[in-house]
Amino acid sequence: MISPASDGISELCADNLHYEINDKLILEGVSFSVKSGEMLFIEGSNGSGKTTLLRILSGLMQSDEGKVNWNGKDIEDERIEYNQQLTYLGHSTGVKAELSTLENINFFSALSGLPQKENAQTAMEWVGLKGYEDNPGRHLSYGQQRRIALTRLLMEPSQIWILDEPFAGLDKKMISALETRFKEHVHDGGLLVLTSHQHIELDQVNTSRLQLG
Amino acid sequence: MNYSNTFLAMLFRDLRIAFRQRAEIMLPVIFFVVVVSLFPLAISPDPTVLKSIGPGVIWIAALLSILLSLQSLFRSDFNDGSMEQILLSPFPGSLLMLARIVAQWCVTGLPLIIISPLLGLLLHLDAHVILVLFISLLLGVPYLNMVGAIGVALTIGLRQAGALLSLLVLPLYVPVLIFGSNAVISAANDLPYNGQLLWLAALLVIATTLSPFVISSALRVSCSYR
Amino acid sequence: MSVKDKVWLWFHRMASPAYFYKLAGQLLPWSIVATIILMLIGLVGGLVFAPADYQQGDGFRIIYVHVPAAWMSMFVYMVMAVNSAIFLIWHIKLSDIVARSSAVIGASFTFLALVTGSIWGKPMWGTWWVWDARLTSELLLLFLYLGYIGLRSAIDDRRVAGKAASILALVGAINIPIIHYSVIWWNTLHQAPSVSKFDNPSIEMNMLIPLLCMAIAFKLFYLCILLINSRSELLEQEKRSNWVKELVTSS
Repeated sequence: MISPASDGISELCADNLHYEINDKLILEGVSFSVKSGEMLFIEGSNGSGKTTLLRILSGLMQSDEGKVNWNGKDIEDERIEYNQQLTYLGHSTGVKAELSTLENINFFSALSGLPQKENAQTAMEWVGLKGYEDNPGRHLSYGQQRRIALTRLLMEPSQIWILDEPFAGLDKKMISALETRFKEHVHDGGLLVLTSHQHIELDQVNTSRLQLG
Repeated sequence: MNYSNTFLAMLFRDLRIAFRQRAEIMLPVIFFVVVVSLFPLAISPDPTVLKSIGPGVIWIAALLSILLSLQSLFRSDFNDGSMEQILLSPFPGSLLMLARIVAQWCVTGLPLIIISPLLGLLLHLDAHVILVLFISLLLGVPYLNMVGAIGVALTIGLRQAGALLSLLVLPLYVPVLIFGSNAVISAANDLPYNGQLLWLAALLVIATTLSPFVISSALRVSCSYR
Repeated sequence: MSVKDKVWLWFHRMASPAYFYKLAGQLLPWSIVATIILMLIGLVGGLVFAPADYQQGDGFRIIYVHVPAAWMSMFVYMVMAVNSAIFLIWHIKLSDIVARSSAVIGASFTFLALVTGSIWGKPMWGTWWVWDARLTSELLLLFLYLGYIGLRSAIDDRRVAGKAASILALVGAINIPIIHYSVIWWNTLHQAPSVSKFDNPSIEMNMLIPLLCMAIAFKLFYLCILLINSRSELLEQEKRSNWVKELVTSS
C-alpha cells in the first residue's frame, strides 16, 4: 500500500512561512528544504518560534502565509499519507498517567497504522524501561515518560521525524543512544528535523542549520 | 491500515482509563440520583405532583449530569499531548472520535440509563411509563453525549470552558429534551408516544453521522494553538 | 471569457480586501441615506396613517418594530452561517469579518424582537411573558447568538476564534430548524393562548406597505453596520499590507 521508510526519497519544503502571535511576527518568511538522508537542526532562543515552526511542519498548526510541501504537494492535501510517514514528538509526551508502560506503547503502535519495525519488548529494553512494563504512567518520572514516547523512534517505520527538544530530561547514556539512532535513521534514508538547546554534532550526517529569532 | 482494530484500540484505551478512576465515573450517576431526589423535597412529596413533574425532572437531571461529565472529556488528552498524536495519526479523526464518544457514553450515559427505572419508581411513575422513560433515555442520551462533545471540542483549553460549554450546548439540547420528556408524559396520559420516540431516533441518526466529523475538525482547530 | 470565469473574477475581486474596502466606502453613504428615508416612511406610515386595529387599538403598532426585528434575527443568523461556511471552505477572511460583525447585530435584533414581543404581549395576554412558540424560539435563538459571541471572545487568537466560531455557527444553523419545529410542536401540544396577529393574511395595504418599508429599512441598517464594521476590521487585519500603509500615509 504505502511504501515504508527505506523506499523512495522524501523532500520536505517550507516555503515562505509567516506566523504571527499577538501582533508579533514570530516567523517571517521562513524557507528551507530537507531531503531524505538529511538533518535539519533548528536553533534559537526561547520564544523564537521553534516549537511553532515544528507544529506547522507537522500540520498541527497552519501558517498565516506560505506552505509546507512534501514531495511537491501541500501537506494539507496529503494528510493521510503524510501522517503515515510522520513521527512527531512534542513537549508533551502523550503518555497516559492511567495506563502502564506497555499499554501506552501498544496504543502508540495502534495509532501509527503500519506494522511496527521492532516489538515492544526490544523498544523498552532500548530505552531502559525493562521491568517497568506494568507500572502506570503516573508512577514514572518525567524522564521515564519521555522514554516511553521515544520508543516510537525505534518502532514506527516512518520516514519523517519532527522532534521538539528530544534530549530534554534524558541522561547522558540515553542521549548517546538517541544520537546513534538519529544517524541510523538518516543513513537509512530518513529525514530528521529537530530543535535542541544543546549543540549537537552528528558526524557523517548531512546537517543543515536554521537560526530563528 | 486496519480501521476496526484502531477503533477498538481507542475504545478500550478510554474504557481502561475510565475504569481505573472509578470514583470519577461514579460521580455523574450519583449527581443524577441526588438531583432527582431533591425535587420531592423542594416541590412536594405528593405522588400526583411527582407523577406529573417526574418525566421532566428525570430528563433535566440526566441532561445536567451528562453536561457535568462532559467537562473532563478530552481534557487529559489535551493536557498530556495524546490529542496531538491522535490528530497526527493517519486514521480519520472522525473514526477515533466516534470511539472516544462511545467510550464516554459507556461510562457516563449507560449507567445513568440503567439506573433511571429506579428513579422512576421514586417519583411514582407507572411501570409502562418507566419503560418509555427508559427507551427515551436510551435514544436521547447518546445524542446528548455527541452534541455535547462538539461543545467540548470547541471550548477545550479555554479559561471559562465550563460556563461557556453550558451556554453553547444547552440550547442544542432543547429538541431532545422536548421529545424525550414529552414521550414519557404522553405515555403517562395514555396518549401515543411513538412519534416522539421516532423523532429521538431520527435525531440520534443525524448526530451519529455528523458529529464525529464536526468534533474532529473542531479539535483540529482548538489544538492549533496552545 | 466565459460566464463562469466572469463570476469567479467577480468573486475574487470581492474577496480582495483593498477592493472591498473602497467599494464599501462608496456604498456606505447611499445605504445610510436609504435607511433613514425608508425608516421615516415606514414609521410615519405605520404610526400615523395606518388604521388602528379593531381588536388591539393602537397597541398593535409595535409590530412595525417587532416583526422586522424578528425577521432580521433569523436572516442575520443565516448570513452568518453562510459566511462561516465560505470562510471554512475557501478561507476568505472577509467572510469571517462579516460573520463576526453579524453576531452582535443579530443578537441585538433578537433581543429587540423579544422585548417588543413582550411589550406587545402585555395588553394582549395580560402578562409580560407567555411561552408562545415564536417568543420561545426567539429566546433560544438569542442563546445561540450569545454562545457564538461568548466563544469568539473567549479565544484570544483571532484565527482560531474565527474557525471555532464558524464551526459553531454551522452546527447552530443545522439545529435551528430542528429547534424551531420542536418548539412549535411542543407549543401546539400545550395550547398556549397565542393570537399571532401577523399570521392573518388579510392584512390591509396601508398596514402592509409601512411594514415592508420597515423590513427593508432594517435590512439596510444591517448593511450599514456591516459595512462600517467590515471596514474597520479590514484595516485592523490588514495593517501590514501595502494598501493600508498607502491609505494611512495619503490621508
